[in-house]
Amino acid sequence: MEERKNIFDYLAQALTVFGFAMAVLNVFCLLFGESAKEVSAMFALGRKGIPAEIVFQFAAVSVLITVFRFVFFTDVFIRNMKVWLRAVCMLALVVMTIAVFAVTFQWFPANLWQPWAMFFLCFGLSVSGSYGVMSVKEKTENRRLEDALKRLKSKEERQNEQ
Amino acid sequence: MKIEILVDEKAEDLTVSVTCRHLTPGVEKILIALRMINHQLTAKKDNEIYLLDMEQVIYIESVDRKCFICTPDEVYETEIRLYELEQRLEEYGFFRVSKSFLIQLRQIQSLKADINRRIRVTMSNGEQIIASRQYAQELKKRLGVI
Repeated sequence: MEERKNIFDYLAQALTVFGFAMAVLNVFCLLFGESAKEVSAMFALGRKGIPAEIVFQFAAVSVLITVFRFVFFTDVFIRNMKVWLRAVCMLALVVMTIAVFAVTFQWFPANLWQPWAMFFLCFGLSVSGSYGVMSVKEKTENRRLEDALKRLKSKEERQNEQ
Repeated sequence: MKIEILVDEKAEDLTVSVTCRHLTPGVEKILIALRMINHQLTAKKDNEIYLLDMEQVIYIESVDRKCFICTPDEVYETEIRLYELEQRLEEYGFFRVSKSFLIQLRQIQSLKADINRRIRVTMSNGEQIIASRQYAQELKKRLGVI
């Protein structure tokens, strides 16, 4: 049976999302911090780092993403829903959450189209990357299952011959 | 219930005889257990009792406390619970893949991993059965994938 997940597993997931987001944000901070500090609360300190309140806001987003994942990718709340629909709903909720945080906490100027375009471009690239990794993982797993099935069938054939 | 064992050196075949007043569910269970030794399953269809070779069984589905045995041509019914069948049929290559399904491994045509850590199992009759996440891990272990 599959091992049941506990609160610490979900905490680990949230911290993984948070850690990855912070790593990417720090790279952006080093690259664009100085030029973006006038318009973005995220880069208010320029190249010096991410402000503490932004760190906590990202921690909250990470927790919410983990909650969405729990809602859509376990059968606790939703039982009969196709996987692609689960993924679409979750992505839509994640986009909405980030958009709400961005506007509320002035992560970037909400009245300009360029930051939104960059946001959707970055989000799209991340989703495409994740989808690519998942596809490769799925193909590898299918190949292993196929091989295992072949082994099972040939074992049976040998047994039948005996 | 009395159990009598008669050892007769002249006996050519092993004979098991069951004497009862009526064919009760309890007696049926005894008969089913005996049939299993012969790689056969006892099942009903249209109030008639059939003897099925285990090899022809593709899967067994549990619906509303009844189990339905699916073969390439027909679907039969049995009173035995799925968990009992699971215990008894494990050694004959049957495997539980979800709360409602017991499949025969040799009747698997193909396997496909789903994104949600489930496994889509296509049986020899083309029907698709989903191995739930809880059982998919066990199925992988059984197949030697993990």
